[in-house]
Amino acid sequence: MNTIFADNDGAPRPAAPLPAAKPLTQTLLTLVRRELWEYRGLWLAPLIMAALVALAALIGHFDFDLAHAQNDKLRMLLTPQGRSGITTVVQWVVTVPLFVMAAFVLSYYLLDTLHAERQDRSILFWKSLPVSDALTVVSKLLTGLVVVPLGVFLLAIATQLVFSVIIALRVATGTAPDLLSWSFVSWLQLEIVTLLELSVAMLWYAPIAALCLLMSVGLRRPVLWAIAAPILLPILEWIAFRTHYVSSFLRYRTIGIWHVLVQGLNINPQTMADRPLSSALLSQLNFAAAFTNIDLWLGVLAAAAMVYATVRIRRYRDDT
Amino acid sequence: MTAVIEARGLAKSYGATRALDGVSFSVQPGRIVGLIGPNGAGKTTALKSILGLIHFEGELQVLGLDPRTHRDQLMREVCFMADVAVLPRWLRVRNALDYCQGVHPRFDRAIAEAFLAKTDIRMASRVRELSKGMVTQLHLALIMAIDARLLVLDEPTIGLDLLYRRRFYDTLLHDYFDKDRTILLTTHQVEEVENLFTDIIFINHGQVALAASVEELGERYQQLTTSTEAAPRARALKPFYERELFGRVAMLFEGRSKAELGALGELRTPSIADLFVAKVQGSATT
Repeated sequence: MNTIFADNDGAPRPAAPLPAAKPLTQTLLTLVRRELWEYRGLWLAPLIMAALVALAALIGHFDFDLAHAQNDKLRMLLTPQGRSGITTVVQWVVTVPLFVMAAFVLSYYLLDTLHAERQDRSILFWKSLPVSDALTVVSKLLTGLVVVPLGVFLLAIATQLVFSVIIALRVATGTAPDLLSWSFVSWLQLEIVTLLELSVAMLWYAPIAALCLLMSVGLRRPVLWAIAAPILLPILEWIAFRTHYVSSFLRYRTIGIWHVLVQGLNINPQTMADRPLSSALLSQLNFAAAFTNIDLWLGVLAAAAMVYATVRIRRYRDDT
Repeated sequence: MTAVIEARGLAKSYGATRALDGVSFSVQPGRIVGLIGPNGAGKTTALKSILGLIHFEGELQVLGLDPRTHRDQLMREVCFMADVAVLPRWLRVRNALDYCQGVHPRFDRAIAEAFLAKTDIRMASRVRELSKGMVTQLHLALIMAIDARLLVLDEPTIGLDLLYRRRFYDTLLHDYFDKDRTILLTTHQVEEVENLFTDIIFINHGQVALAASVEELGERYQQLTTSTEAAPRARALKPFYERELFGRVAMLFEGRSKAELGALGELRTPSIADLFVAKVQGSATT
């Protein structure tokens, strides 16, 4: 970096070479840990959700009498394929509250993180240490988009385990109906599906995460704007032009990729009788179409541009 | 000798206000430099420029680097401490050490731990649980553990009681400072630290009013205390500042020989505080 000044005659040069920076991985690890110290909700909230799921398994009341099932459909659930399907659904349902909770705390985190450091003036401390603005912003994006979602994924697996053990104990003591049949293959298939969905989600929501960071670094009240803008902009558009472009764009950017993913999904009692639900999901969900979706990658490009803008803005942000 | 800081024509505007208006100065290694000025004079703006926290016009090299583009490299060799409020309140003492250790190539954890062991600060405490004085001690512990070449302090002892202030500067002078290190310090409490400085830079209305070493001050400036009767003769030698006290007149002169002034009354080297008042008030009235 000193070569910049090499042809600048008379310019002072450092008397000694700069000390080498810490290894990048160590710095990044430290920065991510820092985020988890400051925003304890990032791991506490999913953990509480997991505890609630376990509690539901423990005290939930199951109100049907399998021995006297009259209904044809209900009887079908008791076939091996039916049990496997129910187990897959339960496995999925157990993880949903965790990811929903994570989505909320992550949105707040990404909106608040670069704003809070200005508000409490701690930005002056962070900037007094040899960490570039780019690395800081990337560490926050990494925390929000990769570290926490993967952590919640692992927590979800642990929750499934706890859930199934509790249910098995209750079946054994006769306080819950014997509906579930765990198989390692089915379990693994749904975990693969979840991990693939998570990868799609990371890419699809990257521009939203980057936009949150951009708002966080640029606005005085980022959280307020994030709530108000998606409500007010469509209303203003409708008043001014009687059109709905903004709201349909927002809706598309929020859930659009899931429509791509479920194209061609065909699951009904007939197909379920042929193959387990988890296997059907793995083969029928259109991951190829999702991962090659042009809007997905345009979004990633937009995210990169917004991250770059965030870094540039933070460079000259102080505590004012 | 290579300057630690070399500033030429620094300028920075906030809207219509010119916070820095063509500021030039240099800071040599192994010095303790006081950057002194009234509120709103541009001190903090100058410090923030040096630290790469804001954009500015003009030329500035700190340890040979441009802080606008190389803040992160620069901070491997520069420490900065603003007033106590900048350590995040949620941070635990232990984690503050973890963090510095994780990102700073020149942070020696053992030094910080040894320093903290001499205080009442516990490793498990959060910053919000510490008193103001303790937060400053914690920040000082972090700084002592970093082998830096330049330490920048912006009103570091504001809001602290006398005991903490005294201990703070004692530690700085005896345990931290050496001939390879440079300290740049702004403070309002000039009287308290004026014996610390080897150099001073007065800054007022975004411009450098005076920049000199303490030895140069002794050679250039004289304070004459004389009787009211002798005052007109002294006035003929064009003092740049004058005030009455207890029936006598104190005048400040620049570039007059001791022989010239000695006959008119008592002579001494003016204190930095006196010079500051004279220079800043003088420029306000002219």
